[in-house]
Amino acid sequence: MTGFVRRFGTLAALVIIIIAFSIASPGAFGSPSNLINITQQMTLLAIVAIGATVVMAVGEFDLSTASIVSFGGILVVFLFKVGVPAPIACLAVLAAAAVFGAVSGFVVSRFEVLSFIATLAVGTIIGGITFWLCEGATLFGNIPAEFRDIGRGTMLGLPTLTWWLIGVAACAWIILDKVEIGRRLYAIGGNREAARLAGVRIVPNTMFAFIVSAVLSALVGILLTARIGSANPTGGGGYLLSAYAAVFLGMTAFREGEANVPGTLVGAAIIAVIGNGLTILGVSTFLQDIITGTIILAAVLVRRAGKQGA
Amino acid sequence: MLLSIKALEKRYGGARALAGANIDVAAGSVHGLLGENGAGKSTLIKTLSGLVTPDAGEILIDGKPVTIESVRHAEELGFRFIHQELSLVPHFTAVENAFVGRAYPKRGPFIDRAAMARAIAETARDIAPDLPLDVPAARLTTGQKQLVEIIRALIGEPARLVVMDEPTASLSDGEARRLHKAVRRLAERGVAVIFISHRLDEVMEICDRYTVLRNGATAGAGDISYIDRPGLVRLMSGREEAELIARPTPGGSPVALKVSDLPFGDHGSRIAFEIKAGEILGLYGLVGAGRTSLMKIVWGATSHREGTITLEGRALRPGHIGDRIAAGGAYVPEDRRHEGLIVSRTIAENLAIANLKAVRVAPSLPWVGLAALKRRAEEVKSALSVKMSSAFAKPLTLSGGNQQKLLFGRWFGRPIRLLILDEPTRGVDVGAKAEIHAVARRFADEGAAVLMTTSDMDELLALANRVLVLAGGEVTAELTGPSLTPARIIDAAFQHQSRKDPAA
Amino acid sequence: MKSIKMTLAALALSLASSTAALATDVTILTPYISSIPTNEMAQSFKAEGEKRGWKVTIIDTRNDFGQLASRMEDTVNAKANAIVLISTDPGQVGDQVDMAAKAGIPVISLDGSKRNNVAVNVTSNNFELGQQLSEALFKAMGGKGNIVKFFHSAHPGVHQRELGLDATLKKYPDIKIIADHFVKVPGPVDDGRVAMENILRQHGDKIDGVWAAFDDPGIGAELATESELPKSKLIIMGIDGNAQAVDMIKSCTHYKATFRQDFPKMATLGAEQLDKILKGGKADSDEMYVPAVMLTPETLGAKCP
Repeated sequence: MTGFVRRFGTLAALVIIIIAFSIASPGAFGSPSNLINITQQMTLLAIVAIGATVVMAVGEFDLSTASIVSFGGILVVFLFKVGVPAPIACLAVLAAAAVFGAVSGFVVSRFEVLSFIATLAVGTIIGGITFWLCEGATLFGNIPAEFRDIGRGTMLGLPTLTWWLIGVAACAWIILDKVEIGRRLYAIGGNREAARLAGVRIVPNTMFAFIVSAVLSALVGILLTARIGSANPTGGGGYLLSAYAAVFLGMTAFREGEANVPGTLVGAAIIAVIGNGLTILGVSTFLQDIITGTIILAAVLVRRAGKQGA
Repeated sequence: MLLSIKALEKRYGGARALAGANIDVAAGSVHGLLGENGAGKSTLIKTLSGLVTPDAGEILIDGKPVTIESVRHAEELGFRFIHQELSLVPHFTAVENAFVGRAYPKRGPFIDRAAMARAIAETARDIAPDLPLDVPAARLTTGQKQLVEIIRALIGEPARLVVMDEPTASLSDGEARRLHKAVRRLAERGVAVIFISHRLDEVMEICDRYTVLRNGATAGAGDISYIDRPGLVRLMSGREEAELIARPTPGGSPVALKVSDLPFGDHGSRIAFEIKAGEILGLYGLVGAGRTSLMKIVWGATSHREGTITLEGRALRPGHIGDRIAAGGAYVPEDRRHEGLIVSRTIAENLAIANLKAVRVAPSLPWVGLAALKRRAEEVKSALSVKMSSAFAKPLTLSGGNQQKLLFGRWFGRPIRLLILDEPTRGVDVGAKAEIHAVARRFADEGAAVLMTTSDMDELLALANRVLVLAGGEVTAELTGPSLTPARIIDAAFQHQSRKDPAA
Repeated sequence: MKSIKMTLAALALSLASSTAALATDVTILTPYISSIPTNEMAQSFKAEGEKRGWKVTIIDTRNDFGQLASRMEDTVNAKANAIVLISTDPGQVGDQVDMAAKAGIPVISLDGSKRNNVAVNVTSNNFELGQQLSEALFKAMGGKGNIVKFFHSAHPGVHQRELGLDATLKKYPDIKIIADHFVKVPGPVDDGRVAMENILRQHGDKIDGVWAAFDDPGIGAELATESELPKSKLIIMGIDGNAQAVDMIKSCTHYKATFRQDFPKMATLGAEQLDKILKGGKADSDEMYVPAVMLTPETLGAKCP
């Protein structure tokens, strides 16, 4: 029983929340189209959280994610403004983010700087660059319609954004759980010194994790811009804490205290479902935050109880 | 008698740490506690400090039996412990450090700093007159920090017994002499001192009495003036007579590992040695002799500026573990929990992490196959007879011996040319020990050069073809064939700096 | 050698003092430079100031009022000639405003509120804006129906608009707030969009109007309506004259009007008043209003069916 709570407790919590909302609001919340819509609403948060998951796998934190989301959105519109075609602009944004990720990863692994500090510094630099690019203003206009389509509409019956989530989650899951590099990342996160002595190269692997996180954050910046049709230099500010909340919720699911992609998806889904359900029920926004925070605490405490019982 | 310990016993799992230890310590005397690594000294000290409860035996204080229940209780009894790793707050001065965890003198609700300084100055005048009291601990030398610890031990409730665990291990001769004086003063104040040291010369000089532990039992005790240095060595090794036939050095095989001119130890000395293919070279030295750091340099885990390391003619770059692995190197670290196992990952992954190519689903695809992981784990399981329920269980579900086998198994399946073993059987029961020895021999028989360090004399004699003894940052003896005896090893290990074994 | 050093030092000193004496240093302080209107005001004021030969510096503290107070103290200590607060309630940095007054540095406020020691607050009346918006929206709805309210009471000006709504609602008993949402910043557009999607699921066709305290959540509401319920007849109106909102109004979407505060006008008026003060005079009044402009498909020249 305790083993079950530990492995699937968080997933069960998600299911219970969904059932409870469906009973409270069968027409609006429980409708299949709303449930599909939730997958779209959770996409941006979930992708940032998946990036955070990869960094957490090597036992580090990336506090620059929110800045990179804002940066990605602003830079892509900036490039449109100077006439760069959409595909090239997007690739350039991802490449720029990769450079920032590489810098963070290098500083953290080569000089053993605490990742909190290093990524806070890099994030601050990126924030400055973002504001400088847009002179502090929201960028609007010059956004090609075909670019906007990557963040809106539907494809094969599912929202386009949901497809992005499926794609990113599948890739991240393969990277972390299926291919060699994932074993190395988790080995570093599990025991850095043991991994190093067994021949795992710390610097390139850590850099890889930070690059993945940065690129995914920039992708979210691009998708966010496509979705809302404008870019704001603080537009990504809300993602950092929610993303880590999703990862921490996910760490209580499936595996013992390890960041993992399926868990993060469950975590992001819990946050999205609560937001969606409570808004439909007409619960005040302030109360929503209180409830979300309480659920995170409860998930962690239930897991601890499960652990002690075992 | 202030303290009498009678027939103390303590078991950890299958291993006996104490098996009939006796010691009598009188007030106002300095008592030397001696023994090889693992002889039971630290367990004995832990029972005094309340960290370990003995299974059998008695502790008498002033002739009355006492059960030491906790660290706090030991403090109340007037016992003070000065550990090798000092526990001073770096930016506190000597005065401030001395009062950490003690009752502060107060004036009203405020701490009375003047009274603190007075109390310390008074004690310091007696124990260590030239110790600067207003300098942060971070700027003091190791020797000065030891003095602060001694003063700290005397603050608060009166100390009756001070235990010092190798206080001079990392001190210069001058500093050590200053410390010796402080220890004598301590005894003159009527405090009993238990002094643990590997420097026999200093033991002979400052101690009044001695107790030697061997295999957890008291091997000898008495007045220091009735014994000499060789006598102490004999008591510690305990098998001067036992003639063990060391494994013959394989003749004719080529040199595999060649280490030359490598900086080693704190005194700027260099070390050079060679190991032939199939040979097991044992490094012996007391704790703190620098063995582990030497192993790490050879493995490339620590970089080095000077000197060269070659394996079968290929130069290994300083600090490049990858070079060693590519050339057929393997490493079993000393600290299983912190340097060996990745405890959050499965057994199978722990076995695969050093060679993920071996668990690919297809040779050209970097995709880790669960079946391949399992197959590899099964191979290691049968080859090294690891007792495990599932390849995907966590490593800490295994016994210590089986955990240790995983660290060998990690390198299994590729030709191994160099095997580095740092304490290969620490915390492993007797049966598993023999199995692990067989594994190490098998690697050697298959042509690996084996570099091993161990504190376990039996293990050293059972495995090594040749032994280098390290002391004070230098090689004090190279022993092989008939000269490879416990007494020779212990004697060389307890030599300090100035003296060299003529046989080396 | 020593004499060279002395000469250099003297030279540097005289240079420093001469530039200080020549230019009038005006420092703009705001926590919201990334919002379009604030940015527009700051830039217009800078242009106006430079016309008059002032040296205008813009300092932004990214939504951080603690920082704003610190930067303001720095500015007072650096002996600027004047301080301009934009989109900030001077009461939130009251001690610093008093400190500037003590140092003899005039403080004016754009889009803030009036306060002791603030020479003038040039603003559009947010309460009135809220009433204008509510009146226009309710009229377009025919005086009855259900509205969704997007608000952000943390911003004093935006909160005033909400009070304007409350006052107007008393006159229209047939208008009901069916749902409301506190808009989160940063990221108000997407937050508005997600909230509107969820509200549409619950109330769907029952929604007749969207009252957006500022354009960002209104844009989000339009994006949500477009993808979830494009056939809905609901009407969205907001405040600010945000370019993306204007674009939506022109394109004949559900977005029917936005009230643009005349920010360049505010900046111009503010600069005129500051000029008077710096020349030794007084501001005309301690609070001056610049009327808002209503932008609709008609005023923007679009022909919607």
